[in-house]
Formats: sequence, structure tokens, C-alpha cells
Amino acid sequence: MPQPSQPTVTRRNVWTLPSGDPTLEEYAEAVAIMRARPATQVTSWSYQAAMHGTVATPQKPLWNGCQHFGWYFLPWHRMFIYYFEQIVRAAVVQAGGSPHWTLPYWDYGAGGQQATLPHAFRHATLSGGAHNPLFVSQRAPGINTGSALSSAVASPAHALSRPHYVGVTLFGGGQSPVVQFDGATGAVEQTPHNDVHNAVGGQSGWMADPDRAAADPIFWLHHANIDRLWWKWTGAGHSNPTDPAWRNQSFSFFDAHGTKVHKSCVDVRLTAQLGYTYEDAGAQPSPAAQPQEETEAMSASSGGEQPPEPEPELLGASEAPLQLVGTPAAVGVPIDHRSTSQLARAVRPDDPSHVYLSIDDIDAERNPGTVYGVYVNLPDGASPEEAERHHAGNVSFFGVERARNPRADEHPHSVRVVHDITELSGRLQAAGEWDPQHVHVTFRPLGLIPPDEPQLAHAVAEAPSEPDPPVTIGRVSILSGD
Amino acid sequence: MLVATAAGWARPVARLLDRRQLAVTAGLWSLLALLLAAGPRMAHAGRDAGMPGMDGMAMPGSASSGPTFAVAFAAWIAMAAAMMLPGALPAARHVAVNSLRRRRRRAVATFVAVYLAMWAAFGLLVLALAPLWSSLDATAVSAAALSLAVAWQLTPAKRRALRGCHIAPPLPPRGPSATAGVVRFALRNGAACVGSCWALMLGMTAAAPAALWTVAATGIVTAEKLGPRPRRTARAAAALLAAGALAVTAL
Repeated sequence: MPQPSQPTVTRRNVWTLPSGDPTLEEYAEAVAIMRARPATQVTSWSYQAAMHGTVATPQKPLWNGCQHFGWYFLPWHRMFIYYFEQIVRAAVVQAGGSPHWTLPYWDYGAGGQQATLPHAFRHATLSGGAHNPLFVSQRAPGINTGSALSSAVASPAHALSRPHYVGVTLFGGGQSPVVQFDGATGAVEQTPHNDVHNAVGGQSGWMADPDRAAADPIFWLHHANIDRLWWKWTGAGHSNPTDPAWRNQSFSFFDAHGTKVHKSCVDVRLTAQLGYTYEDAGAQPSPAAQPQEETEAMSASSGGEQPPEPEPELLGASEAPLQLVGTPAAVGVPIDHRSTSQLARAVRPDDPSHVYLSIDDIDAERNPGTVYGVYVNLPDGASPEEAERHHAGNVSFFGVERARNPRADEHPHSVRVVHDITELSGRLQAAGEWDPQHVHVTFRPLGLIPPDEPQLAHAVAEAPSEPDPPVTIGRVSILSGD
Repeated sequence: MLVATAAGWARPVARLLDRRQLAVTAGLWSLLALLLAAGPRMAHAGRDAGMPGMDGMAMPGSASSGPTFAVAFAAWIAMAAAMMLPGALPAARHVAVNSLRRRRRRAVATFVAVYLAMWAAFGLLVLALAPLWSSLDATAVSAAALSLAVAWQLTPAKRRALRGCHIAPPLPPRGPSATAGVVRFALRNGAACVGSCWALMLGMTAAAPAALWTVAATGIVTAEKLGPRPRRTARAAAALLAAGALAVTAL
């Protein structure tokens, strides 16, 4: 195991930067410099954004390289923003700024004011009347005027509670090939990653479109936060994958000199290997304060190694597809008569089995930009407070159009989102709200919260004046496995 | 390019298929090897059925005994199974994991049967049409068959068909609609697979030496369906087939 280098720089919370701190001004200047570079230059703004995704043709080196819906999501994006940070830092220095510039992160999960877009990104012009390079008008209505992300969309709490990395209901996603969009999204990639992309981008904003997302300057602060969540999860004693297929997989990028560079996942599993760390006032003191390499080694030696992921067994599924158009919708999931006893057993607290809710074969011509809360056995007309008790997780559709119709040279993939509802179904069982013969699943759109309204986690979005572009859910199924 | 492509897909293929699927693939390819080793009998059947490419399997001293259309057809189905089923294993797995346990075996058997029936239907068509070219010059037929395969490899229709092999729709869970759903999926998947590989299979059938092209076609089909970078793989395959067409003409 290579020795990590000591952290030398710290990425800071964008909302708690000291008054007069130049970080965001320097970022804005660097964005302007990068935008002024020829589009063919690999350190230009548009080239960097195209490395994530682009509709432009012909394909240039390293374009459309992003990795989503699988276990390479976290390491690829860590490398991507690491080299982007170097490119921005060089531009900051070129403009006479700090050689120690670091990318700030947007901790929307902290709630309150931090759940709103930072002020520096909201206004089209700067105080002197000049154009604000950090402003993008192509965002969801309300984002640029201070509407907040609800905690159901922005909270990383569920993802951080996942005990292992590899798996579709676990922290980092299921095993996947090297493709832009596979079908094995993990917990942190779904919420908050995909959900925040959708909530900030809305129906036609850049952030909701993987081919344009990285052109919005807030993209990079969003991904710094996702990277911080990985840092935090690892620092809490969890283990990264040990499978050589993950560890040895390498990806290529351009550094600040425009030179092509390569890194393997094993080289970036800890931020200390790349010479940075995060300030995190809310981090748990004891485990997170330890050197991460040491923590990982301890966790591995104390049995933190992930067991092989078993294939869960289908117990029941909806009979017909469901279409989502921006309004609440529900579907029944009848459980097969020979599986009801298995399901009844699986929800008992003393049974080791897990119960999963799988949203299968998600298909859409384009991402409607809506985030749906997914609820189990939710009574009709339930209040947001009541809904929280039935919440299984979310589903949103960032990248769904690219999974079925990939731009890169790869096969298409079906998209599905899976939630572990073992604990939820146990709670519903205890409350007498669980029937092992039939499960009722409700989808409710989660809206942005205007500045003058209370930040209810599960506030239902107002019905759109025009229906959303439709999303088809091919099937909703209930599965069980160890 | 061919070496890089082969190295590029070998590891993901091994990762994509679990141990049981790799064992099935090994079994099917062993069957293919047996079929190729049994070339003489197939050659007679093929000749009688008007398939000149199967002459390439003929060995010196092979006896002539009862070659029939039925034998050629059976050989075709066995070869199609050995060549095509490894690439269809992910689709079969989709059927298995998305079926209730009590229906699982029946569902997978239904999928495999319908999928192979699609290839059998294509085989019947080829065997029925084969007399049209059986009397022509073998070299010209080989070159033409390989050239047709090259041309198809490079068409958008081929790319669309290959994509279709990877679409896995949800399956109804219970009752007659569950069986109908599996049949529908197998028909769609089989049609996409035939659409992607028909020219390759025709080339294998018509070009000589057939054993060589059978092995090449098996590698191409598996790489295209299970490996990464399908466009690059399809182009590399086209290059291989074009080189084959030139070699056949030159030799």
C-alpha cells in the first residue's frame, strides 16, 4: 500500500467562507479566463465541461468520459474535479490570485440558508455592473432567487449510513463496466447527487443534463460536496472496494499544463493521496479525525470487508407500466401468493433478510428535472410530516436519456433504482400498516421551497402548468435477499 | 487494432459473466469444437443441401452416408446455439432474476427455446436459398459472402440491431402474461440478434474454409455483444472480414 502524502490544502464550505475571502472572486475570474480560451484548448471551460458530456461532434480526446450509475462514479468524479481544481488554480495565479486556491464545496444537506444556492452564483451582474461569470440563467425557476432544496432531496444522511460501498442500495453503487451510464446507481449517487442535479437544473437547466451540467460553475461545488461525502464516509471507518477490477481501473484527464495524465481508482481512494482534505465542522470527531489510511486499514482488519452481494429474489411486481408527468402517482405491487410468508418473515426485526423496493426499467426521451419521493403504503392526501414516516427514498432521472441512448461507444442500459426498505417495512409492520400480500407505492414530486416558506422535507411540488415530459416506470417490484 | 480490441474486451467479458455462465459458455464452445471436428459428415449434409462453404469442413477419406437436409438443419441449430447463446446469457439472466422463483426455470427455458427458434427460422431460410449459389464458383461465393458481411458491419441498421440486443424490458410477474412477456422479450431479443449477426452467419455458411470462419464469427459475435466499445469492435470485425475476402480472392 503506497504511503499517502500529507494533506496540504483544505477545501472549505462555500457558505462559511470568512467575510472578504477572495475564493469566489478568484473562481469567477478563473471561469472568465477559461471561457475566453479557444474551445479546442483542453484547459478551456467548454473542453472541461465536454469531458463530462457534450452533444458536440466530432468527438475530441477524453470527451464524454463521465462515469455514472455504478461503482466508478465516485473515483472518476474525484479525479475530474481534482484536475479541474489544478486548472482553475493556474488560472487564478495567472490573474494574480492565490497559488493555494481550493475548490469550495456546497453543503446543501446542512439545511437552512445552506440549502439555497450561494449568493455569488445567483446574480447576473456583479456590483460594478459587469457580467457575473458564476451566474447561469439556465437553472430551475426559484434557484437563482433563493428557493431552498428540501432535506429529502439534499440530505446525505441515508447514504452516509450505508455500511458498505459495493451494491445498488449501498454507498458507492453496484459493479459496473466502464460506461457513461450503467444501471447500478448507489445511495450517494442517487441522493443527494442525482437529486440535486435535477433540483438545481429543473426541466431545461444545464445541471439536469449531463451533456451541459459541467458548464454551470455550481456543478463543481456540488461535486466537491459529493467528494466530501465520500471522504466523510471513508473517514468514519468504512472500506472502499478491494476488487482489483475497481482498484486497478484507470481513467485519463488533462492537468493544468494540458498534459494527459492517468490515475487508477486505488490512487484516489483517500483524499490524502491527492494532497487535500475538507474542513467539516459537523464531522464526527473520533473516527473522522484519524488518518483515513489508518482508519481504512483498521476497518479492514476488524472485519469491515464487504461480503459478496447476493442476488435478491423477486417476490412481487406491478402488472403494468406507470407514467410520471409531474403529479403524484401510485401503483400496487401484489405479492405472489407463494412469497407472502417469505416477505412476512423478512420484515421481522430478528430476521437477517433485507427487503428491497426496485423501480425498474426507467425510460424517458428526456429528463423532466423532477425529483420524486417514493413512499410505501402512504395514505391518500397524507401530509408532508406523515409522508416522512413512509419515505423509502427518491427517484430522479439525471442521465436517463443517455443510458438508453449513449453518446460514447458503448451499449445501452436499462435504468433502475433500488431502495432497501427493510427498516421501513419493519416500522410499518409494527404500526399495523404492512400487508405481506400487497404493497402500495406512491411517487410524489418534491418541490423547491420558496424563501418565505417553512423547510418541510417532503413538501409536494405544485402541479406544473404543463405536464412534465413523461417518464415511464416499466415495473415496480419487491424483492428479498440476505 | 484487433489485438487491442481483443485485450480490451476479454476482461470485461470475464467480469460480466458469472462462473455458471462461463461454464455454460465453455460447454457451448466445446460443442462447437465437436461440431467442427465432425466436419466430414456435416460437409456431406451441407453439400447435399447446397451449402458450398461446408465443403471446407470435409476431410480426406470421408464417407458419404445419408446426408440430408434434416442433418444440415440440425447441425445449423447446434452451431447457432454454440455461437449465439453465450452472447445471450445476460438476457437469459435478466429473465431468471426478474421471474418468480417458481417460474424461473420455465421462463429461462421459454426464452432459450424462442431465441433459438429465431435462429432456426433464419437457418431454414439460408438452407432453402443455398442452392442458388451452390453451383457458382466457390471462391467468388466466399469473397461475395465476406464482402456482404463487411458491408453490413458498417451500416447504421447493424448498430441499431446490436443496441437492441441490450434492451431488457420489465417482465410481467404472474399468469399467462408472464409467459407472454418472456416470449415477447425472446422474440425481440432474438430478432435483434439475427438482425445484428445475419450477414456474419451467412458469411460463415457460404465462405470457405467454413471452420475458420465459424471460429472467427463466434469470436466476433461474442466480442460485439459482451465486450465494451461495440462500434470499435464492429469496425475491427469488418476489417478482419475484409482481409479475409481479399485473402480468399488472392489465394
